[in-house]
Amino acid sequence: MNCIEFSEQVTALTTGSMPEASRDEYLAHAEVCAGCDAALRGRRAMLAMERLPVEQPPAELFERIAADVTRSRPQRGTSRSFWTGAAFGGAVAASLLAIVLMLGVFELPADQPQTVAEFYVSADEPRMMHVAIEVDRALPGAEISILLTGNVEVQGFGSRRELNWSDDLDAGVNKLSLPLVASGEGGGQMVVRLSHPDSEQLFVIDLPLDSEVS
Amino acid sequence: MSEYDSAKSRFTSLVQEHFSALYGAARRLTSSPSDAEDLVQDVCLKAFESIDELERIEFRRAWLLKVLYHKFVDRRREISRSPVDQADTGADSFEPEQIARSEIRPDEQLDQDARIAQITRAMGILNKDDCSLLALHDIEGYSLDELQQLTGLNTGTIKSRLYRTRSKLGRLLSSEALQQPILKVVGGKE
Repeated sequence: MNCIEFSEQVTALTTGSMPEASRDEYLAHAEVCAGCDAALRGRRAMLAMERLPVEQPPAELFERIAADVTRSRPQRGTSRSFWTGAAFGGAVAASLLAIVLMLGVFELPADQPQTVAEFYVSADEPRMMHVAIEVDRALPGAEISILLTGNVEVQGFGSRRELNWSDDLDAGVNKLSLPLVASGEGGGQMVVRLSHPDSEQLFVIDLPLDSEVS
Repeated sequence: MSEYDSAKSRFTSLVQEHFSALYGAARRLTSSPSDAEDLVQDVCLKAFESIDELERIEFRRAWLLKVLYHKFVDRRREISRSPVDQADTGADSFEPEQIARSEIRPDEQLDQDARIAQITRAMGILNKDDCSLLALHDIEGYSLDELQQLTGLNTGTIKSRLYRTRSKLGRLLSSEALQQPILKVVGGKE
């Protein structure tokens, strides 16, 4: 048994189509060969992807996309902005709420937080909150800060209350997706701070607990 | 027929029969229908921009799927700029060979949804060409001969790349870095 032979048969090994006697021999090789052991795990992962149920597209989707792409090219930063993503899989509830922060590039006083919206969080499941931040010109190197108060967490970050990072905001809409979950009673608030060498803006989003809303 | 109608008709004749396959592949890779639609729209836009090339291609579906996996990796890289939607594995600089083998395989302990999310995250770290080659063979079922015609590579090279990419994927899936999303921070406090 060598790695070439193993790689030739790794699909048969993972799909169960290999005879039992041969299977033991191949698995024994993987036990002592790190590369083949990893290749076996990689092949199993691909098999898991292959076996996912195949979903059909919505009825009018092709027509809509065909009309979009042949009529005009989509604008970057509109419907498909660079922050949105799908990493949290089925663990995040499908109920979504879009909040738009109109950042008319710093017309408002910088140090007066405004409550712009509310988003109901749940202790039972994480919910994805989409925050659309619209700016009228590109802001390279903008600093973004999120401060959480109360009993709300960003899923995956445990007790971390403040998240800070820098990124380039495109002109137009930039969408930030945050999976939020309540960690106790009372909900909380999120303060979003956007700063750039020119100025700074603060926004507050109320995060009431869903079960406490009558 | 207007110029728009003509362009749409041409696009439809080339892409529509493959659209369900594209959407199905996109749904495997994304957690929501809207993300899948965005991904498919990216592919369709690329197809429309390359419509002359697409007309000349024999394996049109494979070409479209290859674009889809490339776009998927691109989008994962873009997401990696977000502080919350990623495992901060260092993406391009990540060296799976540096990860020690572990007695416990965390990837085998996750439930299905989390495991699929972990796999797609790891796929997004792979080189685009490697990711698409592996997916076309292992997920979409293209044969080595078909891949040879699609890529122009000889089958020996394809086999070698498939093996290396599977190994890299397997190592990524075993790495602690993919178990928990880690914040890319410039500051912060508990």
